[in-house]
Amino acid sequence: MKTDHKFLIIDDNEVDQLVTQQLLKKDLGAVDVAQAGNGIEAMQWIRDQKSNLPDSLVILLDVRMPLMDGFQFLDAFESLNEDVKKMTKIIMLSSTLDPRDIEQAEAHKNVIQLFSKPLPVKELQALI
Amino acid sequence: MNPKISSFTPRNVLVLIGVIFFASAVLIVINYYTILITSGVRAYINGESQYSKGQKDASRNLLLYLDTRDTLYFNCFRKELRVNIGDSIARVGLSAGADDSVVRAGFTAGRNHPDDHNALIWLFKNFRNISFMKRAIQLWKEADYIILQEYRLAEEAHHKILRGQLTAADKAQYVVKITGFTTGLTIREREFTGVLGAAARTVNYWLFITNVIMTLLIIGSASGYALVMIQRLREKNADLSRTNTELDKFVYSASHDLRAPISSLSGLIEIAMVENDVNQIKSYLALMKTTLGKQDEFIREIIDFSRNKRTIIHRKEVNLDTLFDQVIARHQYMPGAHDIIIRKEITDPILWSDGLRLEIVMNNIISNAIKYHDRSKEEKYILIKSYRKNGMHVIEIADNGQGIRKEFHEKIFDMFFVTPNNQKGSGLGLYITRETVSRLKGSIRVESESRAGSNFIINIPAV
Repeated sequence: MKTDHKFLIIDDNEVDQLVTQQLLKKDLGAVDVAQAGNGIEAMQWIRDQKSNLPDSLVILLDVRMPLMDGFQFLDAFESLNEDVKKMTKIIMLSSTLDPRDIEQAEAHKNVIQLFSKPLPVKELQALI
Repeated sequence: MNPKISSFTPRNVLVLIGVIFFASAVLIVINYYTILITSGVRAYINGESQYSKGQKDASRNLLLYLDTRDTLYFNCFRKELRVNIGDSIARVGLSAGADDSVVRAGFTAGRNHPDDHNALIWLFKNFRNISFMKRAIQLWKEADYIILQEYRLAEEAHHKILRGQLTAADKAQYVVKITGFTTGLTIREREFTGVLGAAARTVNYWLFITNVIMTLLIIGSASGYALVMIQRLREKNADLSRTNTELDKFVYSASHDLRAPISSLSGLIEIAMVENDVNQIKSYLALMKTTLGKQDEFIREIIDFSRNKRTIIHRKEVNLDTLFDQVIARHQYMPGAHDIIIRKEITDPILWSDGLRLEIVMNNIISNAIKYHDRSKEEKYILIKSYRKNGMHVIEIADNGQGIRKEFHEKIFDMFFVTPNNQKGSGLGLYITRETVSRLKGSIRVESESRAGSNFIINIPAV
């Protein structure tokens, strides 16, 4: 199994970062997996890529993080130019049970799906 | 809270209720006395009409007697005049303070209804010196004098008739006098009812005004009271819904924090299952252990939180020196703890407070100080100081750890607030610490600089 997508994991929990990364690599054959500890770091990463951005980026976004949480990141993401937005798919990944978080995620136009941790690889594969 | 409404203290509400009671009492008293006065006035006006009728019938009979000289008319005259004489007896009795039975007998002869007697007596006794009643009594007295004159004239005429001495001139003179009496009485009778009627109208007018004022007062106070109560209910409801929202938030945050380690464990198990490298698997197991440890800590914190909220304060003598020794001993196996020098400078160790709660506070601060030590520093220390100042027991716990950025100083005590760091706290520890300190009626603040270290300063009442 191999995928051409590039992945960006945004999660403050190092264990979860590791788990998601390993799942992507082993189960999905992902090669290019980047990591960010919160929304601010993620925005910085995207800006740093500039022309280097891949054709297809999949962001796995946690909800609760310090400094800039998942939803604040979504707001910041809006400010990026259309090209970046077009080739990016955002999937939220959280262990939240808060119905407000789930509703908000499902209603957000840039969010494809909210998955419960750990990442269900097969379902992700069907989506991207 | 709305400042306008908070001015309605329980005392102000009592004032409102007091006004309602006062106005109601005034209404009852005023109405009661007005009814007494008006029924008295009505009784006197009734009595006057009987008096006037009696006198006029008597005069008619007397004139007929003079014409016919038939004693039947003279007897009728006497009978009718008894009405006026009866009233006269009542008046003289009331003025002289005679027994009520005398007065009642007089009024009965005056053809006043027995049910009216009380009102007649009450009005006379209580208002005899009030202008309208004074005037009415004066008129009544004058009328009684005229009646007396008429009676005397009748007796004189009767004697003359009996003796056959009544001349035509006498008769003409008597007729003129009798007509004069009747006219004089009619004038007084009119004024009598006029004075009493005017008094009744004045009383009614003021009664109406008082009723309106008191009713407005009652309506105003009752509305004010109702508004205050409605506002209080609204505030209570707002408080309740705020509490519910906070509770919801707490439940979701807590459940998230309880669930997050399970998700992590589940993920670790998943990747461990497909891993063949034993060393890698071992590193996953170590991560599982750390994750479980964190969850365990979180559950302990939740218990601390609820214990602080629910259990009552139990003050007894606490020795800070031994308390700190216990707390330090408990944390000696934490990662990095063996590397940190912990010093105590306790000048006044004895404190009257809740030992269990103080322990929760010290545990949280000491474990933070160890958890967030600065590995880059050669000599790592924690300095515990305790002394008395201005009636307060001050406890300072300083370290040269990683420190806290200025922008987080206010927030670190908030529920579920976590600073970005590599330790991933629950966001409950310092919240519980502050809550616990405030239940001990103390305060806590932090002085800290990023990378330099932190100093937590706790003030607890010494007594």
